[in-house]
Amino acid sequence: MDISKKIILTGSFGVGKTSLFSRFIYSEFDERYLTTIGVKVDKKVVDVKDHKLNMMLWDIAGEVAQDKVPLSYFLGANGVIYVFDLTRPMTYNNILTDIEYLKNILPEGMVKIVGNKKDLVTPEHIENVISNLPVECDITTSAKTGENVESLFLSMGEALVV
Amino acid sequence: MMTNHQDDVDRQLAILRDILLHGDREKIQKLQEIIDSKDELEKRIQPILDDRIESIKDNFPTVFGDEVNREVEKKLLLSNDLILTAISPLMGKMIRKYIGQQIGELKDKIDRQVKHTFSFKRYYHLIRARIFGIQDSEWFLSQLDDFQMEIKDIFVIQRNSGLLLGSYSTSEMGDSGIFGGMLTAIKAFGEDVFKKSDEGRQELEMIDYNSHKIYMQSHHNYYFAAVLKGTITASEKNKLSDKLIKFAENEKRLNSMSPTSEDIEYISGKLKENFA
Ligand SMILES: Nc1nc2c(ncn2[C@@H]2O[C@H](COP(=O)(O)OP(=O)(O)OP(=O)(O)O)[C@@H](O)[C@H]2O)c(=O)[nH]1
Ligand SMILES: [Mg+2]
Repeated sequence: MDISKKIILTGSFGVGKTSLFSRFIYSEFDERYLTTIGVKVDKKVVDVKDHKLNMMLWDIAGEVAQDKVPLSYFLGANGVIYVFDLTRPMTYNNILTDIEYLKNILPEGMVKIVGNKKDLVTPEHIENVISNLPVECDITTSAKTGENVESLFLSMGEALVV
Repeated sequence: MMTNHQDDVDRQLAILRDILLHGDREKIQKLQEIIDSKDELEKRIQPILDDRIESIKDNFPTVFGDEVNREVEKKLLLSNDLILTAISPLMGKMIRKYIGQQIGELKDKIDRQVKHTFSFKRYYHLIRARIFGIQDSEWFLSQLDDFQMEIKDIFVIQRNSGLLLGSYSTSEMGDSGIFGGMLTAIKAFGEDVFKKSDEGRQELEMIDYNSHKIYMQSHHNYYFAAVLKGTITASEKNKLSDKLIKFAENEKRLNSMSPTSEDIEYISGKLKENFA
């Protein structure tokens, strides 16, 4: 049976949301930084637990704080992928406030926290960053090499299909 | 002694000249200084130049007007084609839009008229049309195919998530799921912008392209989006709106919060039944 779910990619600007989106949907990566204006919606169909899951992905423009994002983009979302940049502390310094805000407006939503650009840092650095986070980091990815990108979206898909 | 004498004369003449020309010398000296010093020169010439410029400004049309006109004319003639190429698509669009609007208004007027004089007169016209083959203006207008309203596609989209609840589509517009998502995002964006106004909840009702329009009707949990082609009159819009409301009343499945593919198929079928 076909199922459709709305999934939001959010986080500060420049953390790699569009890159993860493009890597997952088109298997592409671009070194250039073209900041997202507003929102771009696209979809990918994946097989999850005998279902065809239409993942409707909303790649939204990054904001330094989540309460700056137009509320209506979040409404009705089934899942949220919150991305931060492992190389830039300012993208995870307010992570607790951001995640609490998201959980508050989407009490039923599934939230995944992702540290991106892992290709730019050492495993020790990653370990250091995520062990000091006030929240649990679900996965670390690289949109550039593609590492863990597929598993990030698939695990989200699986969590959304009951 | 000749030379000596000559020298004396020369010297005396020089003295005499000095005495006689003393004033002029000083003047020449001063002039020399003025010419040699840029600042000095500028100080003197600038006012003259300024005067000149002012006078050219004032008299430009009389002095150069003809010449300029001739030049411009020449250039225009040369670029006639270019200008036309640049302007005509725009003109075309403007004229089309204008005519479309006029026809829309005309259709509205006819509608009103027909309602008004639903009477003897109308029958008279209809019968006349039958007998003499004189075309009813409405019929005539309906022949202007291009301006006739046509429902190309119709979507039902979940209001917050933008997920598709059903669709009936005749145009090849790509993935309808993505259409639903993007349209919802656009709608949300505008509604966010205007929500500060004190007129309550704002709804995007119409998106207007040149030849296509997207008409939207919002319900509590979902909204309809109809892609229309041609000119839409107020009464056509009302008719469509009534039809959508009725559809919404009849189809309770539209309110399903997590629609299954079976729901979507069912709703899509119903849309086709009602709007194709
Ligand atoms: N090395 C490396 N660079 C990355 C990675 N992901 C993204 N980038 C680069 O980071 C920059 C920003 O990436 P985007 O995907 O545009 O970031 P974004 O989060 O969509 O930014 P906004 O749309 O402005 O919010 C781009 O130059 C990308 O090439 C990664 O995993 N590794
Ligand atoms: Mg982006």
